[in-house]
Amino acid sequence: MRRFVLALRRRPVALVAVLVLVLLYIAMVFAEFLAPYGANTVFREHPYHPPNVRLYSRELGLRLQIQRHVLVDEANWRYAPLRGDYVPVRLFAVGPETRLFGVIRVRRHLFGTDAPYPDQPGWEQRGRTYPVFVFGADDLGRDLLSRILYGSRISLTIGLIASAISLVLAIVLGGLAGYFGGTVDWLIMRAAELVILIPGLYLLLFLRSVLSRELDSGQSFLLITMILSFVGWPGGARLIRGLVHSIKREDFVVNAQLEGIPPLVIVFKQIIPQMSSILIVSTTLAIPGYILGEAILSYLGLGIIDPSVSWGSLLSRDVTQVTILRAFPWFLYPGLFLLLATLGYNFVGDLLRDVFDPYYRDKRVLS
Amino acid sequence: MMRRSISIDAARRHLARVRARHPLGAFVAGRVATMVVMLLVLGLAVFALMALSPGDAVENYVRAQMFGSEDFGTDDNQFTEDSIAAARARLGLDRPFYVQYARWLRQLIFERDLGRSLISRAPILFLIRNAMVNSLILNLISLVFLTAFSFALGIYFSSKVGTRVDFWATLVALVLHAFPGVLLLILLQLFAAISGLFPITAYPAFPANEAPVRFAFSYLYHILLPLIGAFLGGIGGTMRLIRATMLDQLGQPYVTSLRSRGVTERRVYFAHAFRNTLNPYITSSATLFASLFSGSLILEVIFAYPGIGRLMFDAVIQEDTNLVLANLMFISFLVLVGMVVSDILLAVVDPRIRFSKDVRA
Repeated sequence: MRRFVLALRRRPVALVAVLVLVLLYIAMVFAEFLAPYGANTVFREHPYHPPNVRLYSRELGLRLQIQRHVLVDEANWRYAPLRGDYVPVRLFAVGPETRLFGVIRVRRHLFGTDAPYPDQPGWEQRGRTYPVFVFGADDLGRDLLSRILYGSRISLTIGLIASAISLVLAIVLGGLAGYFGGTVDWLIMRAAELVILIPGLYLLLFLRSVLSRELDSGQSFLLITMILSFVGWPGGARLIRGLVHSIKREDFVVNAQLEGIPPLVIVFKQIIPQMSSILIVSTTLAIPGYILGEAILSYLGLGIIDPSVSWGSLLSRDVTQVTILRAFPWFLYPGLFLLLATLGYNFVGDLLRDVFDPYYRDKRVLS
Repeated sequence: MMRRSISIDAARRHLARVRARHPLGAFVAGRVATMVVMLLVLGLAVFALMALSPGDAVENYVRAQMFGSEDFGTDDNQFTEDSIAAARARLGLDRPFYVQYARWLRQLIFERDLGRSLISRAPILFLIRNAMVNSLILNLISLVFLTAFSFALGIYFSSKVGTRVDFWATLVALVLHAFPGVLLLILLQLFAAISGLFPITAYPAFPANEAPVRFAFSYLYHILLPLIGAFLGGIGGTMRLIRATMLDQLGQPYVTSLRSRGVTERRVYFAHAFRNTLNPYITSSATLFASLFSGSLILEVIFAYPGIGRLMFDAVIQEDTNLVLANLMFISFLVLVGMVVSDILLAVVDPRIRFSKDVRA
């Protein structure tokens, strides 16, 4: 850990990556508070609304504010900003009621406009609401920033959960194969090769088409996680098998065997901890792959689908057609978040590898 | 009993002799044999999975017909339990999965006919052959470019190690490696649409036999942008790999000894260190081959390229079970061929593998 911190100081890019990841996860945890609206709060009058937050205007000076827009072309959902019509953005504004962490009831959000909301009684009498759209609104008039924040719950956790499951599978199967050798080894390694044989994406598509027809969002989240980890374990299992194979000839293992410690205890309590640093590195580098796996499935319309939301589903095929993107370029913002997460994990993993992996020398200092 | 064991022994000794005389041939034969067995087992697993899943081709077809037609209830769309059962029996879906698998294999090998797609009614083998040719062309072009450029860049930057240029090159490579492929392709397509420099689809709109020469040029023009996408997506990883192995080799004692004998830097790089980087590259290009296929699925879907990935995607979306199955098998076959080819290449390049006792190595 100390080495990691020291290395961070020497490589500012990785430090930035760590900060970005930490911020993303904090935003995920406090999504209810940070997001001005719910993931499915619909503003029926503002579909395809462009981003409307401004930093400066002559009327209100230098402060966060939104500019009112008016719909000028109903057929193509074109809006025009109204000159001189600004509404201040307030911190801790009252918004739709949510439950922070699923328990604490909150009405106030980090920012917003103190306007009535659809779920408040009497909102229609109190006049038109004017919502704050930091990243614009989607085709139904839902705030894109709120959807991105809520979507991060699936996108950012699926990588962790799927890689944890496939790590466990890889440790168990790879450990057994490497330690016992013989028939066990042969069987497990052939099974791994069978899974590797099919390109991951095709296997994902096939499993997804075979296993599911109609699923609710929770089920499909579980299913996607399972499928991703099933596709992911063989690589890790091969790595672990090789390492176990070389470690099991060390003296301390032979001692343990002579003392009569059961083989399973030797494998999982004595051999596997020896390679923890390598496992940390390979797991970190594997996480972005799982995040992208979910994104690709959702992009193709086979993963998370409306009304639940993930970064992949925000970039889904219907939304990111060229004609739509040209008219409403802010639909690409979820991609930015996806990019931040994958870049973050890759840079951190790269640093971890330089610090921890004894087989991978830092090529930068070699001359 | 005695005689049999002797004859087995003799056969084994004979085999060993053959292997000693033709190490490469024996290696290739061993790999091909393993490949066939694995393919058969894989097919069995896939069929078993299909059997486990709820619903089957007939049920999907019936459902599609019932929900798809507006005049529900007319004679055309009436399905009785009996007619459904009869259709199942005709397609052999009432049999256990291994029987179905054997039937499928027999159809493929002896009759060269896997039936028709449930949706488009076109022969499945025809669909797959066309799509596969398209995919292979695209992937081969992309693989050639990727290999050439990643070697050139990897070797160049390994000679610049420790400099500012090298630092930025590795940084850019890591960013490219980490960049989500879907996003990259979407951005490229958007670029094509906004700039108007490139078409936003990857395939010419007219058939090839109409004007072959014009088709070839139009084809190249259409695939240029998707190729750039595939290239950018792949170059980061491969360039880093080659740079790292190059540096590994340059740190070896034999390089020091070569240099101390006054061998020119050019010879050290190209005649010695370079040769040794081929080995890990070929090993990783087995997975590279696979990733080129699965990577091009997204590419084909986004740029509407009529390849195997798009065929698979459409089949999955339309629940065209037969086509999904055939597609999966053919893709795995291709990948397996790629792996075996790269193994054989490895054996050609590296005598240690060719002559090792363990054929699987």
